[in-house]
Amino acid sequence: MIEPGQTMPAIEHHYLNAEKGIKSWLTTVDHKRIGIMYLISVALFFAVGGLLAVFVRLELLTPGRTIMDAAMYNRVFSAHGIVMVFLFIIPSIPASLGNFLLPIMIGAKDVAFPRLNLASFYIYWAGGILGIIGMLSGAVDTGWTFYAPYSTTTTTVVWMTLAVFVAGFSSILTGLNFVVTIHKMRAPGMTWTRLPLFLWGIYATAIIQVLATPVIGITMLLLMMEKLIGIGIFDPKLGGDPVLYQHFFWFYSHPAVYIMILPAMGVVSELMATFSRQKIFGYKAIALSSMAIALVSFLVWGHHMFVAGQSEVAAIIFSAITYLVGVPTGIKVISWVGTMYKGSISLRAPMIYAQMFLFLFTIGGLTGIMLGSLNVDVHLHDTYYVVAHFHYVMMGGTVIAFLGGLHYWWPKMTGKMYNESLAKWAAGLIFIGFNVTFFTQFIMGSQGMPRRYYDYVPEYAHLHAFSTYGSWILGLGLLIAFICFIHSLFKGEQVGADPWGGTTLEWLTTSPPDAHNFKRVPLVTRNPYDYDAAYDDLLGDGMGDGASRTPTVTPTKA
Amino acid sequence: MIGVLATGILAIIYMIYVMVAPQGEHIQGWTPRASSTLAEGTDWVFNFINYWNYLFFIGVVAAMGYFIYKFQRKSDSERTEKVEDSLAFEMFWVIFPTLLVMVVFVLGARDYMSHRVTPKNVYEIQATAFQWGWTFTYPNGGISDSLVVPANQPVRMVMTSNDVLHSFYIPDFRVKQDVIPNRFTYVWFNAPKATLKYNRPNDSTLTVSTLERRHILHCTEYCGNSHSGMDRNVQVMADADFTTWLEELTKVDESAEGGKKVFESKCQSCHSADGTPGIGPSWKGLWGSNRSVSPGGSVPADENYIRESILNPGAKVANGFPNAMTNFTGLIKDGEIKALIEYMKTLK
Repeated sequence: MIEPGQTMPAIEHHYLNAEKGIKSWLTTVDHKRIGIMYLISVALFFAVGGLLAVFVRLELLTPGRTIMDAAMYNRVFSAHGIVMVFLFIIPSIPASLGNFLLPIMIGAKDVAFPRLNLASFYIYWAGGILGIIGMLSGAVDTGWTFYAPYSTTTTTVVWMTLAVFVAGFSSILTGLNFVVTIHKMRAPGMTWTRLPLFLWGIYATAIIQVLATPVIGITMLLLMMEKLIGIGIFDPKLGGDPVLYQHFFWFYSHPAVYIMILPAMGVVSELMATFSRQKIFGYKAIALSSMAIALVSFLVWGHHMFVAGQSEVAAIIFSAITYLVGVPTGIKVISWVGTMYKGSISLRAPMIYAQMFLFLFTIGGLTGIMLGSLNVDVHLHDTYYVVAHFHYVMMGGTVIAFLGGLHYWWPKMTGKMYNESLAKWAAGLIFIGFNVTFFTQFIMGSQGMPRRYYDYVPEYAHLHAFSTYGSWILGLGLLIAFICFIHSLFKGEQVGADPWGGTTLEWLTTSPPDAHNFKRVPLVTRNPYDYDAAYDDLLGDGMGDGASRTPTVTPTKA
Repeated sequence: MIGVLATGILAIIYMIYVMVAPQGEHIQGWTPRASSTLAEGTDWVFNFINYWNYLFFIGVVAAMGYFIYKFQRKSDSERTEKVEDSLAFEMFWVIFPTLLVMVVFVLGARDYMSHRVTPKNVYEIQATAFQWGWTFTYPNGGISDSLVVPANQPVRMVMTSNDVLHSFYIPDFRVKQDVIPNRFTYVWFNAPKATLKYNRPNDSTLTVSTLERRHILHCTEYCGNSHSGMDRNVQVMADADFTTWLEELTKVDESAEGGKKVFESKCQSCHSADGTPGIGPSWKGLWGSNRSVSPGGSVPADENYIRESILNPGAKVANGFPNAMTNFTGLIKDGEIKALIEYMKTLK
């Protein structure tokens, strides 16, 4: 037995050292390595998008010109939006954590189509490179929505729309791969009701990816044709309809919001269960609400267009359906809070992120109720209230859950533990910085400050300055979190198979996992959060190395 | 643990601070001063939702905080008590919020219809948006670049755009409507109280006290470089003042002095008078010079060239500048063009 404080001996063979050299990475079909490559890529694009955000906030520190002119500002905020949405947040959790964990959590050796998985990664990068070319060659200044006819008549959007078109294929193929994997490759005994909630989130996301992404592809194609040969679909001068563009765009981009948030909700479910050592309160309610959200997400796109000139009847119907999305979302929040009831709560860094998620996502969700109301939305549409709302959902939700999940699964991915106090400092700064940056924007927005403004009237100067100071605290927090991960790679302690006392399948294999995930195909005999059945493991030597684990999972022949 | 609670409490204190911090008399609470008859309904629903939101938020955060405090892990080998799912609780948690959001939906939709149905006997103003400005045409043919409306009278804006999408937004009135090329959209409002004085927005000499009694019209649909420069002043005038103002509007000052005013309202967002290049060429030293244009090579900047450039800007585009200028046909009067030429002559 290993005494507390003593480092674990390094595991001999795992996916990281199974093959050597850069070429073995670039040509790998191992889902874990592809997951790590995605992780590095999305982190890179997050850094680019984040740096652009710092410039945006810096420009808005004072009214009038602060560090750049209007033309540059418009390009910077557009690039920020495009990079963050299409190259960071949509692929973030599904492509990195999802790729790494999905096969392990269902007890499979790999995804259903490993080569397609690698191809998706390269398609994603092809999109990324086209986007970079787009940014460097003249740059897009339309915002991430590319609204016609501004985009088709005034600026050069072809590179960027091509980038979105190409990156979309990566999203579709990844989703397809995940759907097939979850349907066909679950280990014996892994029934649908034994599927971990993270995978329910990924599954619902994958379905949206497959069904909705082709629409943005076609829309971008039409936009390019409009720009290059003037086919006259969107431009009124050619007999087109600019509102039609918005219908096409939001028919994808509203479901895409759920592509961004559903995996994050899955991550939070895992964190809540493990760090409360309690089965998820209302497992079925959370699983079903993910599917309900996926379904309803296709029916609400028109709430982006309440003032765009659509009919009153359409606006009223879209508002009503929009409110129905709030119900499954509310069910999830209550289930997460309920999971903590009579739990054994350990406030390690991942759990702190989960609590931050609950705090911030609740604000994001409740302000969504405000925006769904027709008369209130007329006042708030296209103001900073909307900016704050989607940052609370997308950043306070998805990015925070992503960070929590990354801390949680980091020991599994690398075999190393991160520094707890460094991680907590980062989390605290991110939380304070985030609220100062974005809560201020709710106030500004409800007072009438429009979004995408280079310059603003003096009334808002005070609040804009506050928001910018907040962005510095937020940036510092994120930097420390990044340093924490890098530090762990070099100085982190070796961990055993199950450092947290988690009960899902990934904690049964070594850290880092073997190249084939498990030595033998596991037989699943219990629900994913059955702490009763897993009690003996948890009450073992406290090292969580699996040494004293009783076989709750019975090995069968490979 | 203490660090976590301290962080949370600090964030909540900050939120309360921004909510109650003084913003000048212009703003009371969350929303700006209610200055139209529609504002009251919007604010009522806003506050209704907001109070429920506080309730839910405090509920969630209090439960989180209490559970963290109460069920903190004491030792690594702690056992947890099994909690059974409660179908009754879950059903309640489906039905109660569904009913509540339906109430919110009905409240919002009902008031929204009052925004959309224009009352009878409205005063109608035509608005044209362009990159980057507005013109407002009054029933007597007068054209204005800032919006002046009669007090205590329903006003209907009939709006269209000359180029790309724009959006008409007056926060104080709680009205917003996208402005679309080749299509007319409308919005109506009734502002009961006259504003005190007329000021241009973005004037750096304005202090908070002079800001109190003005309304601003914003463009809220992104429309390019000077999107944020489309702010215009909205002035509400009592009947007698409005009539006088309307009469003044149809008179055109054809002097260089009058031209300067036209320049400031219609041309300044793209052209400068001091030599700095903008989206279009500067006017300094432009009059009488030889212009390099395409197509056509070179033309003298005389009355004909200036007039053509205003009414058909794509005909001869100055080299080195994009063909980006809006077509001012119908947005400018002949007298104003004369005044602009007089003004240009003074910019040596």
